Amino acid sequence: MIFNSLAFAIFLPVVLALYYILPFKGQNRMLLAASLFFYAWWDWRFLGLLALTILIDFYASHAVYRATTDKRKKQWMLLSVISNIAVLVIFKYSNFFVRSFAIVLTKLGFAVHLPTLELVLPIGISFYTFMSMAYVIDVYRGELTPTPHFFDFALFVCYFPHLVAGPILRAPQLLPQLTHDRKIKLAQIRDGISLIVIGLVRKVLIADIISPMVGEAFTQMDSLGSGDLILRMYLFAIQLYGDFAGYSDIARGVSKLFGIELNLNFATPYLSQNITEFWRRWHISLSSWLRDYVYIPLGGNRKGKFRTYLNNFLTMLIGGLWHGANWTYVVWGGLNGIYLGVHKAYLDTTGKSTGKNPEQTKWTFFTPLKILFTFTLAAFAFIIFRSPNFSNAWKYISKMFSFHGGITRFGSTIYILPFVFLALCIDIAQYTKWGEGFVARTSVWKRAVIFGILFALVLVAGADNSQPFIYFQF
Amino acid sequence: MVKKEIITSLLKHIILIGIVAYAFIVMAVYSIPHLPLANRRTFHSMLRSQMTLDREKEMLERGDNKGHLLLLGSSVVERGIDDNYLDSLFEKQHLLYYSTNSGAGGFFARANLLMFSSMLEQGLHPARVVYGIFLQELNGRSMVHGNVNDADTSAIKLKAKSLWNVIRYGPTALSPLLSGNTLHIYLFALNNAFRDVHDPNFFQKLSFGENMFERDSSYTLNSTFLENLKDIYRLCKAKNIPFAFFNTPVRPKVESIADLPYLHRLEAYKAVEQFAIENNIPIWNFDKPTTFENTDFLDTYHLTPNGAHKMTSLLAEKICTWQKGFIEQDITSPSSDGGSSEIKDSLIRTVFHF
Repeated sequence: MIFNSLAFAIFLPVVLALYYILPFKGQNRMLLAASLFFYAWWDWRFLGLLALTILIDFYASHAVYRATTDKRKKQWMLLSVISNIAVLVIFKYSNFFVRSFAIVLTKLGFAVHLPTLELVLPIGISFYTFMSMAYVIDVYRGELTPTPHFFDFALFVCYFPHLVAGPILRAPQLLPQLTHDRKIKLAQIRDGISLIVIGLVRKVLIADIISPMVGEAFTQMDSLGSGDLILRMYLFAIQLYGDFAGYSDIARGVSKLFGIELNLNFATPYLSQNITEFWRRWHISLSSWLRDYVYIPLGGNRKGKFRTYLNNFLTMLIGGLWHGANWTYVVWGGLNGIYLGVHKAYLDTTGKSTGKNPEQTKWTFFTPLKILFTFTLAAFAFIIFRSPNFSNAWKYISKMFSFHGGITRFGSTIYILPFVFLALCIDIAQYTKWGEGFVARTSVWKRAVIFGILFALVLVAGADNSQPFIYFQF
Repeated sequence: MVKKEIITSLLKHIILIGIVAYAFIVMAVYSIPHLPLANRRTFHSMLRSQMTLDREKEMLERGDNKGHLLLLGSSVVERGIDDNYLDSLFEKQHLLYYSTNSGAGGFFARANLLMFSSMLEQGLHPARVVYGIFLQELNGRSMVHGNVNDADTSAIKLKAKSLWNVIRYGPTALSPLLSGNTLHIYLFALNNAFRDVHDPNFFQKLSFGENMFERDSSYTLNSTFLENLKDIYRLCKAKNIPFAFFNTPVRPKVESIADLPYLHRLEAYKAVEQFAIENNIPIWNFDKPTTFENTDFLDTYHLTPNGAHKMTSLLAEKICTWQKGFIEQDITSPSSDGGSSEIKDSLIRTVFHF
């Protein structure tokens, strides 16, 4: 079930109505049932896999907690990690590894035909396995006491607003909200509705409208000029952001209606002034997960400069691979690792720091240039992310840098500009916190006019044009 | 159990936002000129249909007693016949007709059948119907043409603008205006820019966008298209509306390999011609090597404004004769060479250019 669908428009009011009339315990049970129904709507057969992950990690977390020796604790923790990674490898990466291995063997002169599993990728698998696995690791590190109630843990993993495309939540953030009686505040209703509308605007009115132009760039490259491809490089970056940030906004907004707060996943990343800041603002839940469960265990910045760069690079490679079973994702992650390494080296050489809160940094003449530069770096890397294979990416990049042909589709380009402008306005409102203030200080009537018009545009843009979220595939 | 004020607040938000959203949609549908309201997104043909209905309504409200001459066809008609110029020619010849060009770019007989039946359902009363055939359409199965976006065209209906229909189909009706490709069609159609602005300057591009001349060259013989064409005639016959065909021209010289092949044009023309003869339908062939020059064309099939004037004049003459009761039929000589003359013609056109 996708958020921008009729099915969800019926599902949500029914779940809300039941939630509002039930007592606390009943609310949690009902939310769990609704979440399983939400997931089963896509394919009920994968409920078993979800249940298996939950069962193993619930049991492992308690085994870790009860174990009397460090060795035993570690064994249980490893069991959880291995089982989660095994699920990912089997369902997401097996074909990828087998095919890659076959290519290597062929290159070495051994003509082989290795069998592949050809399994359907369970939706949201990368999100829920990471959440579930992190829970056991947190218990192992002594940062968390496992919940004694199986259904609370199951709800933590399955809670439908985050289940299929994040944010990847940590137990200390979400579990207390699930285990304690919740008091919904009026401000949560106000903010929740606003976030849902803004999320739909980002997804349906911006990302989905830009989507055909971007698709054209990757499928009909020969008929486009360099200018078209440069422009579409930026457009894909905006589309991807609108799609994913839109989903996160809707997830947060829907959750607020249940009185449950989810963390911010995108903090205006395209207004970052350098690539390090970009990665602090882009897909925050994944970045922080990778930092805490990959980068730091690898040694972080505690083992000298070279290891710091290497750890950074390896973490980004893993981050790339997390996105999908394709070498293009790995290279995209690697390229971002190089970006981060170069920036770190620059900071180390000049003695500068990125520690300042960017919102508190005074804007200078160069700030927009820095933002544009950072945005360009991110958008360039997204070409590899979007391309189905390297030859396509290479063709795109070489055609883009041939500086031949300019903008051939001027007409269709200018129609996109209002939507790009809208995306920028939303980001500026979020960056300056003007949006939050506006929602908080204006009356429901004024808000209804603005959000009503935006919602009308969403209805219009979405008529006959409902597209799934890009991050569902991850 | 959640407090009552929370539930009230949530309902208030949802109801108010819903009311504003639908009020906005209703206002937009009623205030945007000629916006077609249909149950499916089939914008261009429906836009032309709605414009035709609005024109007839306007003429009736004005108390004009002229007969409505309806032109149907694809982009070769849309761009190739200037209905304003045709009206002035009718006036010169004291013919009591006004014309509406309902030709819609990209829409062949299948879509024309759909839009014509929709217009009739909505109460259109044309005095005469003239269908401009683009012969390749009878052979065409392309990505560009016939893009009704629905396999079951019989399910597509043009809707009257009642409040309920506007609420129900309003978002679908407005959605093409948010897409660059269809918004530019709307702006072009409204500003008659398909004919008058064939080479838009910077400011016109800002206003309308660009009109990309679509090309396709993948043709396979498809008898369904001919059947659709026959169905349009049958609809007219059932309503006692006089009906005629004309054949649109193709540029004497080919400019691009993408415009090939020409094969099956003769075969297609013969099929239409045979149908016309059997049913005593006028058929006028404007695709003759000496009638149009290369400079009359924007591309292989679409005429320039000058070319459109030329074809409109030719059409006016034919309609004048037809109106007097003569059935003119341009009969081709029977081909006995199995299409080799057509291949030769195609090659000559190509060789001249390359």
